[in-house]
Amino acid sequence: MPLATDSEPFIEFDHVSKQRGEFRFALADVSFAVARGEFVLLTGASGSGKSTVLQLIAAIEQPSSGRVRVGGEDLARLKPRALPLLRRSIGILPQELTLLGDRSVLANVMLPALAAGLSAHEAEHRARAALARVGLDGAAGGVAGGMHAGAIGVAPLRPRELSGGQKQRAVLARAIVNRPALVLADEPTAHLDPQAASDLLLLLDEFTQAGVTVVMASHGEAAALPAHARVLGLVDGKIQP
Amino acid sequence: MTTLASRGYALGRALRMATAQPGVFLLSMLLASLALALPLAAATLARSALPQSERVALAPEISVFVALGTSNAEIKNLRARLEQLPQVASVRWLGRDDALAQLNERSALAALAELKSNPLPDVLIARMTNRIDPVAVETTAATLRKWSHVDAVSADVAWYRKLLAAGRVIIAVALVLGIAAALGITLILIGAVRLQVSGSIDEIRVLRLVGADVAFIARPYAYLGALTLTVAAAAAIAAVSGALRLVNPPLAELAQLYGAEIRIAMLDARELALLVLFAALLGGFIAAAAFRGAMRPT
Repeated sequence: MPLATDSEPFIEFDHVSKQRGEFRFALADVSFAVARGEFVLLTGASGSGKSTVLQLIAAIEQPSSGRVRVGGEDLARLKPRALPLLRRSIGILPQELTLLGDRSVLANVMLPALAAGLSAHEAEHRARAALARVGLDGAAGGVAGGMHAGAIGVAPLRPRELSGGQKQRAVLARAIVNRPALVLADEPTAHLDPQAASDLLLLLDEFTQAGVTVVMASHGEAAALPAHARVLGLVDGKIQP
Repeated sequence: MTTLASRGYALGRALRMATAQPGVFLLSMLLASLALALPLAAATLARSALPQSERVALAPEISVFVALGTSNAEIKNLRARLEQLPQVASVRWLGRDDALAQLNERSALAALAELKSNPLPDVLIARMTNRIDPVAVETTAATLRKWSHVDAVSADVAWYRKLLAAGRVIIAVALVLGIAAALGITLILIGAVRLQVSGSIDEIRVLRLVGADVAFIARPYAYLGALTLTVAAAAAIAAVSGALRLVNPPLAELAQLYGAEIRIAMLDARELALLVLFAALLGGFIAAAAFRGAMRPT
């Protein structure tokens, strides 16, 4: 994915609509832009179109009309072979937890790095660093607030042995293992207690300070939202002014 | 993206899939080994049934009996003309004295020794090209009969026709068995891959989400297909080999009663190694294709 210059928006929605069925629109003529390193919170009730926005950015879905650009690339013109490259530059925290239960946490986190063609040694090195970054490995720090309290060596454990908060952090570790320029988080705090949710938001905010763009969807105003975060409200598939 | 790590990952996943659903793997392997054992047994029988000489060359011969009184120079000319025919591979000259000596060796007739002169003609034996059409042999024989200094021409085409017909039957049977085996193996692998895919939907979804390309996602299934057919080929070889151990002793006893020596030999190690390699490649190819067919585009 070509990198956009700082003057260009990193993500751009240009009159984007997404139709579902004959008369129902998940998104209706939505236009907005997100700068590199920005923290954007998409809020709105269930069915307002938050997840659709994230899926369009990740090219999981295609718009019915309008244009979506990410990193200067028009996603409609993206060749199928380029799709994996785009996905490798995006860290995705899906709404449902998607850790694979048949392998260790470490193996789960290594997966994107292996898929990107890194050696097993490099993939493991990155995975351990990512786990440390999110506070799931005692070997390294650098995580805000109470995340240190949960710092244990979970790498060899199976996902079922983790708490809800730890699983969410493990998914986040997997999302950042390829050092993405963009993190998409769909309701990442939905199943977390207030403290864990606050820790996760602080962690996402740390990424933005390193130049990573974060777009997060939440059905309510997230607690402890970073002060510089921009909130985009969605109602019935439209951005509210 | 073809790093050693991704191939190692794929091999690990293939082994885990095989062990995670051992019933599916064993059933697929057993069915595939049965499908492979049939053509393997047919090939083994065909190889043993055909004598070595016929495996090397399958060609009829025409015997040209030279008229008595023909000079050696004229016979040489006749041989040269024969050798120039495109349907003739080689010509052997059996001199009349040699022919009589051979007859004496093979026959116990006392009358032969009492002959005052040699009644046998010189014979030019023309070996035809391999797998020549029997009609061409007959046409050539008819032409040769009209040549000067030729007394008679003998072309035993009947056995050649029978041999060709038998060969065609063997080839047809092997072909049918081969096609049936290929179809069976394809269906078995498609079924096995679909079962594995249905059990790995979450993994495939995650892999797509994290940017794995189709080759990375498909490779474990290709390796699983290769593994299945490799083990199946080894099992088929073991089964046919075991069957030969059971069949050969009574077959040898039966043959001895007729004064013959018969033993069905297994294909040699090189051929068996090629079979295993071919099975592995076929398994990988079919499984990869089956996986791509089972995947819905994202």
